[in-house]
Amino acid sequence: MAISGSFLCTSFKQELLVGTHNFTNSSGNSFKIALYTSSATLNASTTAYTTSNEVSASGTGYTAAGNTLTNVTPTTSSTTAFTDFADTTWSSSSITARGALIYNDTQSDKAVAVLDFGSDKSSSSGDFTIQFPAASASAAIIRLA
Amino acid sequence: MSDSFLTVGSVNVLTTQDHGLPLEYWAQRAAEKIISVGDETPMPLREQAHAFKDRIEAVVLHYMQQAIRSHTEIK
Repeated sequence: MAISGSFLCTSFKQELLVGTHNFTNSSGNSFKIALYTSSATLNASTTAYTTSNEVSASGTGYTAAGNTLTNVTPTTSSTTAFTDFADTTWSSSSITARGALIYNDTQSDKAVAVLDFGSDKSSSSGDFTIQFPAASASAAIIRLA
Repeated sequence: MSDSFLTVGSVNVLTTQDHGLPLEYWAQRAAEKIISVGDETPMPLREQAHAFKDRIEAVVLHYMQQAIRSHTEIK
C-alpha cells in the first residue's frame, strides 16, 4: 500500500523550527491540498507536492495542484497550540482518491501533512468534501502539545 | 518535565453521486464551526450551548434557503 497512515511530514517538523510556515489567516502563507490515487507513494518522508499519481489525470472537476485552503489562525487551549482549515469541496466532480497532501504553496510547495483516507473515496458528478476535525486541543488537524 | 508532541488530526471525507451535499449538511457544518461545545463543559451550560448551536443551525439553514430563492429569482 502506497499511502499507509497519516503523517506530519518530517521535513515540516524541521521547517517549523526555522520559521518556514505561517498559518495565520489572510496574512500568512497559502496552503493547498492535493488528492492522490492509491498508486501514490506518500509518507512521512514526503518533502514537497508532486504531480505523480495525483487524481487530475483520472478525475473530472479537479484541477492539478488541488484546492487552496482557508487557514484558521493558530490558537491555544491550555498547553496545546493548534491550527485548523475550513472544509474544502470539489463540486460536480468525478474523483476517486485514496489520500491527500497538504502543502505550502507560498514556500515552494513544501509538504506539511499526508492524509490517508483509509480506503478509496469516490464522487460521481457530485461533491467530494474533506471535512477537517474540530479546532480543539484534542482533535485539530495540526496540534503541538 | 512534560512530554511534547506534534500530531496530525483525522479528516472525514464525504462524497456524493449525481448531486451535491444537502443544505442541512452545510448548515450543520456552519454551526459546528461557529460553536464548539466541549465534552467536559458542566451540564447546564452544555445543554444551553447545544440548544444555542441548534438554533444557529436552523437560522443558517433558513437564510441559505432564502439565498437560493433570491439567486433563482435574479436569474
